[in-house]
Parts: sequence; structure tokens; C-alpha cells
Amino acid sequence: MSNTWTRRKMLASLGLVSAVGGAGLTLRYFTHERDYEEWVVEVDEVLPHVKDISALGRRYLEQAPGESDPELLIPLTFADEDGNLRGNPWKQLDKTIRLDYSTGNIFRVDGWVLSRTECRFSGLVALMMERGELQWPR
Amino acid sequence: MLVDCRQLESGTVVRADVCVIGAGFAGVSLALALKDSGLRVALLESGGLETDENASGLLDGTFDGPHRNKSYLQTSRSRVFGGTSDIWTGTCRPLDEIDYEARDWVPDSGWPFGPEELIPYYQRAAPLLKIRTFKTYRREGALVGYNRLAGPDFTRFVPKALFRSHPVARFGVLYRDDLESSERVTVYLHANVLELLAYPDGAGIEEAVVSNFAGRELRFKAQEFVVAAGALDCARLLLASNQVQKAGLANDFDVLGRYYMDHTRLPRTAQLVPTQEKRRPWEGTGADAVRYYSYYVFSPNREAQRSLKMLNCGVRLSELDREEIAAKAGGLSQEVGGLARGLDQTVLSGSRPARRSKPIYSAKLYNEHVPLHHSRVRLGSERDPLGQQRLVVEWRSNEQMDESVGRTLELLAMEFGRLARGRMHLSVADPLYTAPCYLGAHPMGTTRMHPSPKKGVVDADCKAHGVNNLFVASSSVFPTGGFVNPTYTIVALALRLADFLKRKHGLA
Repeated sequence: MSNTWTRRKMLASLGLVSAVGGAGLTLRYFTHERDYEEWVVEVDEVLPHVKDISALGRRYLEQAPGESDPELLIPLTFADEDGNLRGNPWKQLDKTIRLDYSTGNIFRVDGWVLSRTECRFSGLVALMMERGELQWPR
Repeated sequence: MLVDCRQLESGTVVRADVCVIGAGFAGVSLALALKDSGLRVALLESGGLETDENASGLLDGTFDGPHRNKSYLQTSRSRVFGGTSDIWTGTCRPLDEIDYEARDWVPDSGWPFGPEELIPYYQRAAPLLKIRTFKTYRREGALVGYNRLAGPDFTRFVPKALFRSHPVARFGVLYRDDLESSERVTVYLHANVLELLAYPDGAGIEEAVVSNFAGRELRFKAQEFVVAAGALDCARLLLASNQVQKAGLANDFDVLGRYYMDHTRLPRTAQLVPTQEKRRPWEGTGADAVRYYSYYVFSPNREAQRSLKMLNCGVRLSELDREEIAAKAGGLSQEVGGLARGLDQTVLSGSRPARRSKPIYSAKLYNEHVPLHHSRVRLGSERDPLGQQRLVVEWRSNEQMDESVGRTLELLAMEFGRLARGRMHLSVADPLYTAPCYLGAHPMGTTRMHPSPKKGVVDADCKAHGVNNLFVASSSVFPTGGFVNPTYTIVALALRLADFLKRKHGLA
């Protein structure tokens, strides 16, 4: 598979965040610790599974229809405990998911026990796929 | 010495110091422990050296319990010299510390002594059962969780090993020569005890009335009587011995036969999709001595059980084969696997995703059965060929048992998720879940131990309340039974009772 992710496309997809906090916020959020290119490479490694993640996310959103909005899901997925979008998003995601499992913030999707944040991440991916902001297949 | 009671004349009276009824794990252990004590022991066995139709036919009765266990009465007992050791799989484990405790979320729980009382007897039982691991078990000093299996960093679960008898100890084969050659122990085969006759004041047992399919009627007189016939038949015999005490022996308060328990086995309750490249999801470093163990399970630790009011149980994970995966793994398994591997191996740990497909693991649950007054065995109206009332077994459960299963699996799923080792699908929560509930063939509790006759049939020394020379050596005395095969504890208790009898006769 070729990597068709470009910085422009990444910004376009993450431009959803700008709707929440402005383009400047987006740049600050995702460049604080990493270059865009590094970030794109990381996302690319998740991409082989994006179709699966999207399907799961669609099932989640069917059970939580009130969250079918990227503007709602992005901060729910990536914000820290103070509600801020800052630092490395993947590290924050890691932290939040593990905290979910520790504290019982779980959700069942067709019997699967998942972190609520994982479900929201999947929902976000599903919405991005449906809006054409993630390309599959590449 | 071995005697075939079919060859004895009717009316024969046999005298001994100790009459042990039942030559299974408990009876044989007791006889072995007493054979050099100076006491004369008569060890009575309903069957012969081989199984036969007559003896097996005595096992029939009525079973009212999980529908997949219709042959329960035949598969949980064995009327042959060696008893159920003849059909034992070889797996066992001591009870956990929490199994002895009076837990406020489990009514009628609690043993009259703690785990330290049985440790020396577990140690002595190990060579009898051909278990090689107890030395290490003691050195670790831990009763809960055998932590040489260094699992991942679970905070709420403990890996527990189930020991393996190797080669599987068939008591009827292993110890036949020892007993046959003993001058003080006589094994009486084809000796079906019809009833225990009490003295007119009911304070002691005068004799055991015995019959067999050859039509011989015999009487056994002894100073001490030990019923070691398995949990179902111990209760049956005491209930049927009602010439003096009309409700049966040691049954002034209608406890005899009640609090019957058997472990449930729930297969395919959950599936685990692993997300890490290396090893199985629950393995850490230092796992060794696999050859000593049948397998190991994950059990909620003491704190989790206490804080969440859970029952003791063990979750065993085993790999599904390819044909089973599509049929039995939960839907969305590919999608969840994709999400989990995508996150766990890239985002969460920074390593590359695994390119080859990973197996899916299926979870089987081994569950504690709580003591319930209305879960019971009783005498039915049908009679067997020897004229004895057949058993009616009524296995009952409650909501707490069901809820604890779901809670356990959810908690385990959270552990695997937190550790980024995998994701779990809980089939048991599915309304269409159809996997059968099996019983473990471990009947327990029917002559339970309790200091008070209002709550128990025997006291802490396994002596029947109000009957001075009647004892029980069986899982029937267990007030609670944990989730593990009871064999190890049965033998330990029998050895403990042997010591008590020796002390009683000044022979310690």
C-alpha cells in the first residue's frame, strides 16, 4: 500500500478540530511534541486496520447516537483530564484508555468489553471515513 | 486382607475397632493412616475389585438440576474398590484461604477452622495423590495464588495452578497390596451398608447392617464408625438410618442432606482476542514447571472478591481451533481485533503491528456453588434391588452465582484491556448464549461441618452431632467448596480424622 497521507490531507482531516478550537489550536495541539511527518507515519501504522475500526465505530455510534459528531468526539477522545487538547495525542489516548479500564469506564459493543474512549475513537474514525476524510482502500 | 462378603455366611458378625464405610479416596486414606496404629480396621466397599452392573445399578436415582447432567448420579460416583479415584482426571488443588472465611456476602459460609489447620495434612496427602509440587507450594508460603506462574501485572486477578496427579493415583490399584498385606486392616468387598443401627438412646452406633446381591446379611460391630461413602451416599446412609432417630442420624434440625453443592462449569463464556506479538496474553516471565500442573486459571483475588462481593472462581483460557473460531467467537471479532491491535501495538506500546493472525482464546469458568438450604439430597420413594430408598438430588442455584460470573468476566476483560494484552467478548451476557452448564461431579456439603447442630451435621472434628462414635470423611462435610476439585481436601481431612481417632484411643 502506498502512503497517500500528506500533511495537507492530515490537516484537512484534523481540520475538524479547528471547528472546535480554531486552526491555531490544531497546530499547537499536534506539533507540540512531534513533527507532522512523524505523526502521519504513526497514523499510517493504524491505517491497515482503519476499515475494521470504522465498522466498530459505526456499531458504537448506533448505540450512542448522541455522540455522532466529530466536534464532540475529538475532545472526548483526545482531551486530558482537565479537558485540554495538548501534548502528544497518542500518549493521551493511551493514558485515557488504560484509565478507562482501571476505573470501569467501559462500554459493551455487541458483547465486546471496550474502553469508552476506544469506542469514541472508533466512532470518530467511522465519521471521518463516511465523510471521505480518510481514504480506504489506499 | 481382602474378603469377598458374597462368600461369607449370612448372619456373620464382624468385629473391629474402626469400621470405615466406603473405600474411595477418603476411606483408603483413612485405612492407610490407621494400619500401623494398632487399631483393627474393617474397610467396607459396596462394589468389588472391578465395576459390575449390580453395584453400578445402585447409583440410579432422580436428578433435578442443569439439564445437561442427566447422568450425574452415575458419573459423579463409582461403586468399586478405589471409589471415584477410578474415574478421577488427576487434577486438584487445596482450597483457597478465602474459602475458609465467613464472608458476609455469602450466607452460611465459613469453616470452623482456618487453612493453617489443614496445611500439614495437605503435605501428607501429596505423596498419596502422587502430587509432586506441594514442597514448592509450601516454600512460597502463599495459599492464594501460586505465584511461580508470574503472570502479567494483574491487579485484581491471581493465576492459580491446578496440580496434577502423575501418574493419576488410582487408589484401588495403588494401595491394594498395602491394605491386603496389612495385619490390622481387612477390606470387605461387596459389602453394602443398608443402615447404621443406633443404640436405643441414639447416642452411639451399635452396628452396621450389610447386605449384597448374593443375599448375604452381615453385621459389623465397632467402637468407631466412619462414613466415607461420598457426599451423596453419606447423606443417604445417615437419612436411611432412622430406626431410633426418625429424621436420620444427627438430624435434629433438618440439616442433613441440605446445603448440597457442586461446582458449575461454564464453557465458552467469553473469547479473548490477543493483541501482542509474543507469547500468550497472560504469560509473564518465569512461568515454569508446566509439567507439574494440569493447567492454570485466573481467579479474582481476595480484595476483588471482598470489595465487589464476588464468589471464588477460576477462568481458564484455551485456544480455539480454526473451525471453532467462526462459529463460536463473537461477532465483530475481526473488527475488535483490528482496533485492539491497531492501538495496543502501535499507539499504546509503540511496536509494529503483528502481521500474522493470532489465535482467539475461549474462556471456561469454574465456579463456586454457594451453600443454599434448599439445595439438597433426600430419600425418594423408589427403592433399589437391595430395598434401599433411592436418592433424589435437587441442585439449586441463585442470582448471586449468575451475577458473579458476569462480574468476573467483565473484570478480567478490563485487566487485559488495561494491560494492552487483548480484548474480550462476553458470550455469557448474550440472550442467545446456549452453552450448557455442567456440574463438576464434585458433590459436597450434605453433612456439613458446623459447631452447632442447628447449622451442621458434624462438628469441627467431623464427628456427628449427638452421636459419639460416628464420623464422616467426605466432601459432604465441606461448609463451602471453593471452585476446585475437592480431592486434595478430602484426603487431607481423612488424614486429619485418622489422627483424631488415634488420639481418642491414646495412640497418637
